[in-house]
Amino acid sequence: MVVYSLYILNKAAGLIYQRDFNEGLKRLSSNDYLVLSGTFHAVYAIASQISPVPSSSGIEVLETETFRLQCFQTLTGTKFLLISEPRQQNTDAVLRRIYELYADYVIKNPFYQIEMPVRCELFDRHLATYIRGIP
Amino acid sequence: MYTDPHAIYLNLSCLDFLLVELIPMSERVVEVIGERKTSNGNALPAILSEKDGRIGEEERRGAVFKHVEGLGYRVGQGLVERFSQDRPRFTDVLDVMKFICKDLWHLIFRKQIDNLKTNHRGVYVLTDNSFRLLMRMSTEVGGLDTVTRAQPYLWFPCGVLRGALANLGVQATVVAETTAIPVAVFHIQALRQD
Repeated sequence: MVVYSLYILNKAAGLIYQRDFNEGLKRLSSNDYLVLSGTFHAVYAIASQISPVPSSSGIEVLETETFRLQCFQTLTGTKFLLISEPRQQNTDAVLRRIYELYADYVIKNPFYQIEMPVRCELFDRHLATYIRGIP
Repeated sequence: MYTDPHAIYLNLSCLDFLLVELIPMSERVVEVIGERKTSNGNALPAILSEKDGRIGEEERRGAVFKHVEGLGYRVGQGLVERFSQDRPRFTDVLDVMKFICKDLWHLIFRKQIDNLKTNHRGVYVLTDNSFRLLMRMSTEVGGLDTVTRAQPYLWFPCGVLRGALANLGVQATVVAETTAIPVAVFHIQALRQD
């Protein structure tokens, strides 16, 4: 499975984690990333409001010719965005596993402040090992 | 091992989160107690008061240690009371140590102590190569910084060990240290042998 990047957004639509797993990707400025995450948060909220089906969640999957974006929102309001290549299966299972890693190495880390940018060495390491190891 | 048909189950993550919050809470408690002492207008000994009247760093650290370790002490006492129920009597201190390393550690941390060393004169060194409480810790800087900041989180297990030993009849002092996350080493000095 080819995963391009991972974004984690906190409750207030702030970007707390951004990582590219593919070297070929162009890097944006950090401000651009913040704008991206804010925009997505807003679009997600709008989508859940204008949906014809009552009480639906926001955008879950966004698929284009060049990439596939899967969004997983936790019950606590944290959003995990996984960008992978198009027509990819099992991205939701990957996201769940990433959520598990997040709960283990970020939330249970006493040196991490909730809602702040994620700077946990162990999380980075385990994430990299997991992403590389997906068949 | 302990199959109790009326057992109630609780998620182990709750203990992890509780212990993580224990240290900041103790620091806040010590801070408040310190402020209360200075505002009372009592005569403070020289080491306690600094330029602005607040507790010195060394004193504060000692107070937090006492608080956290005291909490652990009570927990340790209660734990051995409950879980040494159906065991045969302990023959000597080494037997007590083996109980701690295998049974007690398994109860609290789901694993046994990796290494037990002794000089047969009352000094025991317990090594845990993947100590549960340290497994998730990592800071931005990593390495030495994490080790120094992780120190307070070892005080609670020290207390648990000291309380457990005390209730089994072994008076001891317990010191813990870590050189690399997640290895934890506990030095136990038994003062009196029963």
